[in-house]
Amino acid sequence: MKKFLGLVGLVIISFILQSTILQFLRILGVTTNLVLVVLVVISLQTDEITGAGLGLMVGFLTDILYAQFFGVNTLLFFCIGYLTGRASEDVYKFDFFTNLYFVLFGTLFYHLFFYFIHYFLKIGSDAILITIMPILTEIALNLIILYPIFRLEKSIFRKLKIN
Amino acid sequence: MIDLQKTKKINNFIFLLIVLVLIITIGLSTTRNQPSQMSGMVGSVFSPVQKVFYSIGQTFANSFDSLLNISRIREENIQLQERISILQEENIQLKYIVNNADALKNEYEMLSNFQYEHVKSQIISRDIGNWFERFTIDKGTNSGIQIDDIVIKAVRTEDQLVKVGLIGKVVDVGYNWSKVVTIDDIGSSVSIKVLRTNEGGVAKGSISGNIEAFMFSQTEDLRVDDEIVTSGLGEIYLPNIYIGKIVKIEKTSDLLTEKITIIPVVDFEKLYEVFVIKVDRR
Repeated sequence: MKKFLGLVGLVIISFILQSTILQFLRILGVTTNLVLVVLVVISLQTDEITGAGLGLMVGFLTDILYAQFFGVNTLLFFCIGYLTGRASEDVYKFDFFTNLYFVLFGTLFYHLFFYFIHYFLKIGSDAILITIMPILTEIALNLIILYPIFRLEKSIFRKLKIN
Repeated sequence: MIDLQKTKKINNFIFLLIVLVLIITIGLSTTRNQPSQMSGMVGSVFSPVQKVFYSIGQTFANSFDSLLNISRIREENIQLQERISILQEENIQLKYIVNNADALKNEYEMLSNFQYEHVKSQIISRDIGNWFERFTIDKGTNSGIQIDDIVIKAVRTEDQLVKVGLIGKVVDVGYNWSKVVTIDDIGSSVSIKVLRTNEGGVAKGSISGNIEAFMFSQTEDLRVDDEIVTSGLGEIYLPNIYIGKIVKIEKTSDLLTEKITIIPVVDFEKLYEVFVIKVDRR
């Protein structure tokens, strides 16, 4: 329980940093998605229940504080947390590149499904081509911040005695 | 082994069940408002913390900008000192004109009779994703803010005139925070008119970050750099609030009307303090 609360704290800190300080660090108008990177790394190092729980929590916070309609972020972060945690049993999760691929696919998954959900809700049904550049920029930024996050979380996980 | 497989099956079942519930929730929330009590509680807890962190971010961003611009600032300083002496001379002449021009006096009176009550507030956090342009401010029902109140900022145009620039509107309110959707958000739409010709249209935000507008009728009289203001139709936005200038004019696919791209007068990435106009809608 103590470990799980530690992870909850970690995700909440990243959420606060993401919604405040990181908003001033935009490249080509795009900010990195620290929350998603942290969620993927934690889910990969733990299991599907932890990943799903944290995803549900951070998605809920995003929807309740910013979204016009409730549920889209909750659904996507929940799925990313659960599926990453589930896949962690079948991959060598301690390798940096494994984390890199998961962040890459996690970001793609988030944006593609985000686009389709909003397309079917008829909100911002612009051509997907317009959105490709911001998505690619975010993927690049997420991969750049992955390394320090990966190193930092390794030491935090050691302190929390996870793995 | 059998237990492990059984647990996995149960996990998968719960996962699919939650996904189904969330999909239904999305469907329901498009027709109903969010549970405002819940968002009120969460917002009240998070907003003081986010306010501190947002201020820290703003301070760092300003310091960084200052460091980058220090050589430019020095040059500007020299130029500005030269301009001050020229302006001082001009000022004496202008004072003479102001004292004698009734028209200018009337205009001044009109502006000082701005009838709308407003609240100054600070941005405390922004939407964590890159799809929407939304932020929260540090004032809510405790300052009399209501849903659909208009968010503005005083802006200086290229003509060196100070105007009321439109930022967006309040879409949700808690006790000490409000959620604001900006006009360049993809879910936002504003009824507009061209200031020079009074022709109307509807402006919408787009994922690319531009504000695009479709005009109601066919016209050949649109020009790049024409100023765009709110028309007041729809009874959300007050009329004649400055939005920006036309940068691009295109024909729509049916070749009947025009689609215009507007560059907003407000820099949405560098917002810190805003004003909320408390509109009495009774």
